[in-house]
Amino acid sequence: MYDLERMDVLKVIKEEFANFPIVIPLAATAREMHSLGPKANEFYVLGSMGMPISIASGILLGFEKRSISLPVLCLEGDGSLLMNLNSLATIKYLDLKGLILIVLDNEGYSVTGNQVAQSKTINLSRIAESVDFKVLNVLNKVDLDNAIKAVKEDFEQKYFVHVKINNIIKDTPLIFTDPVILKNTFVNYLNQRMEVEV
Amino acid sequence: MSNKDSILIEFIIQEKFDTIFYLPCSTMINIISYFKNNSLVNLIPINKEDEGIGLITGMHLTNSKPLLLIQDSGLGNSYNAIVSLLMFYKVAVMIIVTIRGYIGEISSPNTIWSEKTTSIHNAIGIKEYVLNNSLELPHWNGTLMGAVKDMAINNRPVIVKVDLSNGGPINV
Repeated sequence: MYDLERMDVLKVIKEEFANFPIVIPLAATAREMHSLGPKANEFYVLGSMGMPISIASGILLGFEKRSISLPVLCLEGDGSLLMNLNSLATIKYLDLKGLILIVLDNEGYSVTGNQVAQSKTINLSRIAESVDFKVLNVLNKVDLDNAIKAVKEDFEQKYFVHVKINNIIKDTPLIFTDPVILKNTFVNYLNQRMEVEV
Repeated sequence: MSNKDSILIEFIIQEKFDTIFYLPCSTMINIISYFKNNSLVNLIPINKEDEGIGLITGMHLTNSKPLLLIQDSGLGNSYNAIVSLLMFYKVAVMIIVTIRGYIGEISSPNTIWSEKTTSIHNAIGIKEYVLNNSLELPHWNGTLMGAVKDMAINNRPVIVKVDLSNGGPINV
């Protein structure tokens, strides 16, 4: 059983990266993050398992086109990442800098009843290394603090922060916000950030 | 290069699409080659159709103008993302899909897919426009412009199916 709970990691991410775009995957991660108080810099992807990493890559390409150097955080689960693993090859091909991929790896599909994911038998970090991510492995709170410090010191890299978490899921409410409002709130935030950065 | 190719290329330039994500298709080879040989758009190869849906969504959120160019034989890989991302969040982007089920297509699974996609699009509720040999070439650009207006006015994604082959239409 790993020390870190998803909720504890999300609290730290929300506080430490409040000024940067964050793309958030579905299910428990979205609900727990949302329960901490939704922010304009957060884009909640309530379906489309596996898509957050491609969405985050697209945002970075949009920034790149405008010569904006702003990092984008992408949270992913291990199962979700495995569903769109080819996106890592695209990130390598594009040589995308400024992508901070934080993988919350509980080695399973906890929200559907703790079914095993293949992440239990493979090393996701080694896959990330093979496509030139700078990998930071996190097993406890000290590792997490160190990883966040390292990321914030140099946004020019692309990071793969591999956080091993346990299967504890907090009892949090469902998200009933209109998806178009979720999107527009995030777009308004991006527009404001892009104006500042240009 | 055929007249069909030229119409598509002119449309892409005229509408100022800035990035094309694509998976290869032998019938769109002239279009890909054209944009590969100039810097009018950023041409990006991808690995799978649904990945392309995520990428165009991300770019769209930054007010960029991306385009996804794929063939209908692989369109099935993208439907989950089309429904739960593009349609759910009303992401107004265009997907141009080459029709591979034209008369003379040698890969029979392609024909099956081409015959089914319109029914699937009707079922999931995404608007599609079709450019094939049933539509005279002078009307192609007008149909493309109609699709662009549809995206803007209704704030929704659209699919444009296009037969770039020299064969006839399978669905007339």
